[in-house]
Amino acid sequence: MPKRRVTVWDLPTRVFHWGLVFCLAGSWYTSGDEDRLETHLLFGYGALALLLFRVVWGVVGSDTARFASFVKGPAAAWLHLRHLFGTKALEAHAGHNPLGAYAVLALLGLVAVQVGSGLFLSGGDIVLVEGPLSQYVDQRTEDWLETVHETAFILLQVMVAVHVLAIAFYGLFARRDLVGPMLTGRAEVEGAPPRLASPLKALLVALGAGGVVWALATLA
Amino acid sequence: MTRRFGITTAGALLAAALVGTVGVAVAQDTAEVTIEQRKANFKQFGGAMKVLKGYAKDGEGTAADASKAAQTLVTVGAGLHTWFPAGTAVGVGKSEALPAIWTNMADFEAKNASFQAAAKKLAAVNFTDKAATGAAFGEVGGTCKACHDSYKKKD
Repeated sequence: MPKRRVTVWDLPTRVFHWGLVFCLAGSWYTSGDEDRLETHLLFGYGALALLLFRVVWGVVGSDTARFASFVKGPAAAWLHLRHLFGTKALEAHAGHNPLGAYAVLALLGLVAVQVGSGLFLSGGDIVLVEGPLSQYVDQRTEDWLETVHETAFILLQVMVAVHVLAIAFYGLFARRDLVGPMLTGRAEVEGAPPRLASPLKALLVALGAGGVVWALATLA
Repeated sequence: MTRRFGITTAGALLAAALVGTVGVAVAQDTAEVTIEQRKANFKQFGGAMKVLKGYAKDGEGTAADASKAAQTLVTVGAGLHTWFPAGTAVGVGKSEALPAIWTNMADFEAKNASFQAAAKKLAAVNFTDKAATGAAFGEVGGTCKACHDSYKKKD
């Protein structure tokens, strides 16, 4: 089948991806220091807005962004793994491979636990800096959620490492560049190009996600 | 007879160990409740300081809000000396209280006294006088910081 260079990642998905990298790096850098707590919260709100956007985009967005199109079950993931280490050439499909799909779900799930627990926490050395939902939980619950927040971050770091190592592996051993397409959006694929959703729709979803986070942030 | 004595002794030791374990567990639990309550109290301080900072620095809220927040510092703070029973240092629950508190109790109490005095001064200030409010607020913040620097675990 002839290969064609087409757009596999639409702009909204790429902005989401690198935006999340930025917000996670920022919230990691501002963690554990009471003086940087307010900035830490801002990065958390950013990550939450991106997450909400991505979940909705995973239902109404472009083909390669839709959960229904890339989550194909454990059998497909296993087959992909065998191809990866086998002699048969990897199929040049567009979007997440069936194994990577689980990495995406794990990463999104951990980010959800991370920001979700963060909303209930508070800190600040002298002046209180609190998440918008901190006022609704007692100290014991908050302490427990703090442990959840810390544990989720360890798991998230592990998943990020797995993600980055897997990409390095594809680049070095499977001769498949995964970073370029996430930057430019374009890659060579076989068969029909993925259907892209309208940028206007993306804008509306983004405004909705931003609005929800804005409402939540002003609750505190 | 010896054997029987051995069994009795073993039984007694076992019972003592059980009672001891339960005793430690209960003490641990009480300590954790104390720590939770202490943290909740300090969170109240933090909330009051947030209101006061907003009022003094950014003109948010009313003089009545600021006065109420200052009163919180005084009334909640009055019990501060009772929040630090032995056995509630770092390592128990989510405590951030450094062991130095109990080895330098006199200094800890002196720092508490200066906080109490600063809080009372702030509560008595004329809140329509922004400059005086700001100065008294800064003084309270200074006493918080002085104590945290020596006795609160850094993250």
